[in-house]
Amino acid sequence: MKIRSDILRVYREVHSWVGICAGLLLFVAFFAGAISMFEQPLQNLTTPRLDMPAAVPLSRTPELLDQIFRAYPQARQNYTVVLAPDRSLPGRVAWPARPPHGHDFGPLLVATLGPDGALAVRQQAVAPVAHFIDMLHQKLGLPLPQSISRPVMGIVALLYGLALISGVIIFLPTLVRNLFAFRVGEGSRKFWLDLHNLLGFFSLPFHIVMALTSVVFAFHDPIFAVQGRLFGGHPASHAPTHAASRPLDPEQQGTPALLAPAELVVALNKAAPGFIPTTLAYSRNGRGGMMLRVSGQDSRYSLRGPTAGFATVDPATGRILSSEYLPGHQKAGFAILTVFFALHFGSFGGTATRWGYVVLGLAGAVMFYTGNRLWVNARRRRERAAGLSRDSLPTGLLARLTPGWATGCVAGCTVILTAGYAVPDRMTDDVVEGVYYAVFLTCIAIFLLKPGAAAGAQDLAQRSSQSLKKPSL
Amino acid sequence: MTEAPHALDNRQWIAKVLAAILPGLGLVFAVMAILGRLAGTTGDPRSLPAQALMWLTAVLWVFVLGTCFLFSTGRQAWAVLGGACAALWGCFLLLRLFLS
Repeated sequence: MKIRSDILRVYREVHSWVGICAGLLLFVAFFAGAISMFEQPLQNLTTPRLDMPAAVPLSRTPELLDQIFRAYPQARQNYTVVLAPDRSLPGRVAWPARPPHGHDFGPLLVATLGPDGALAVRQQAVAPVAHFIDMLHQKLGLPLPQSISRPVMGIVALLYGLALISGVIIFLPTLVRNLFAFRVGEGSRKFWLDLHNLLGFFSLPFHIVMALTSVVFAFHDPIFAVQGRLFGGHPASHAPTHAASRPLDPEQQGTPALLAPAELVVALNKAAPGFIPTTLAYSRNGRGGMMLRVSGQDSRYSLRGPTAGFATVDPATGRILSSEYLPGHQKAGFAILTVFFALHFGSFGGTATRWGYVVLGLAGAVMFYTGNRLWVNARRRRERAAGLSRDSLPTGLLARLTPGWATGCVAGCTVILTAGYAVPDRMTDDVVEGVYYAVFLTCIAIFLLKPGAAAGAQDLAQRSSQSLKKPSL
Repeated sequence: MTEAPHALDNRQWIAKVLAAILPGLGLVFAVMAILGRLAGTTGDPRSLPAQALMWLTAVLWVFVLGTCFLFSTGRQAWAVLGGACAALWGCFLLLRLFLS
């Protein structure tokens, strides 16, 4: 395929500058994202076991709820029946310790019944390590508040999209010649270039999905706000519909009219066989009715969330009220959109897919690293050709920052994961953040200050002068 | 490959990128507005048309950003994207007039 040489040159420049602006941030996003594929198991692994009795059988949940409502009347407003208790969410029922504020539920209280039938309540204590790595992924490793990191992430995602478009354009003309070329012995430049092209081309669909979904994650609220202005005055909220909820007699005050959780699970299993519910989240709407949102998994289909699909269910009958996000029961349009989310989260096809995504994510991180190496090598060659004996400041800085940044990110994540496993009780939010950034910055400092790092440059200079002596090249 | 008479370069990249960001985004929103009006969407973020349009907007914007470097000058980028933006918003206003 032929593309005009001036267009190729334009896009080669765009690709290298966009890559250099976003590469290191994307490295963190991909590395932390790859780890976050197993955020839940890692969270369980790094969370200390709460000292509380095992969860009561599901059939005894009504008895447990009665006791909870007597001791904690505010739990009636908002509580979750846990169908698959684990270390992060032990007990059978959980509810917010404080009235929830929007999407932020704050700390949860979890409860079960002791062997003597007495109520046992604890505050949920989730280790922050796995969540911190997820936030590194979402914030590209920058310690910024969400309101700033979100648009920053969006801008980087746009740059990433630009890098993909320009990368494809410059690779197309040499596609046939270079696709399966992998020149190990012919000097580091060819090696990094071949590796970069190989990773980029074979994971291109993955990268396209990641770039587009990230743009959407960053900018969906403003876009919906524009739509709201254009098409009608809807408030910008994309929570699932709770239109049909069951009005409750205020004197009943809660459970009696509702189906017991065990029966509800049976009813749900009939209505949506293969969907394995994990939590039943009950909440009271403004009109005094109860709403029920069921989260769960179905490895045969794409899931809308990172680990779950959702259904709105009538809490009195178990009938499915809204299946817009219920795997396998979505209408075609919603199912297509769900595929985009699932392709970002790797939430389809179960654990095998997640491992595949770990590989793809790490390969992505390696691709960004090789991109930076290529940029440094190209600038060095140009600077040597111009007669400079040493790296210019930007080249030297990036030649040292790139390995420092990558090592810092990998080492920081390793240290906090190891510490989270070894001393889970010590890991508070501040400790995790402090340790990660201390390791990260130390690695960068070591690489920046290390005296021998210019050796690579000299090596390259020697080699280029040698190759100048050999006219046959 | 021969060089074209006016070889493309990146000298005016700031103007081109700004054109893709400002009138380019306006253009993309105009496409969203017209399609949304034709489909009769309510703009409710929970509805399928609103979500599909949101995705379309993001994809188109990335596309405009990726192709803005092909304009020969910054002025041309602003003229084409700005002109298209104004024209499509004009279409949208007309459409609203006739459909309401």
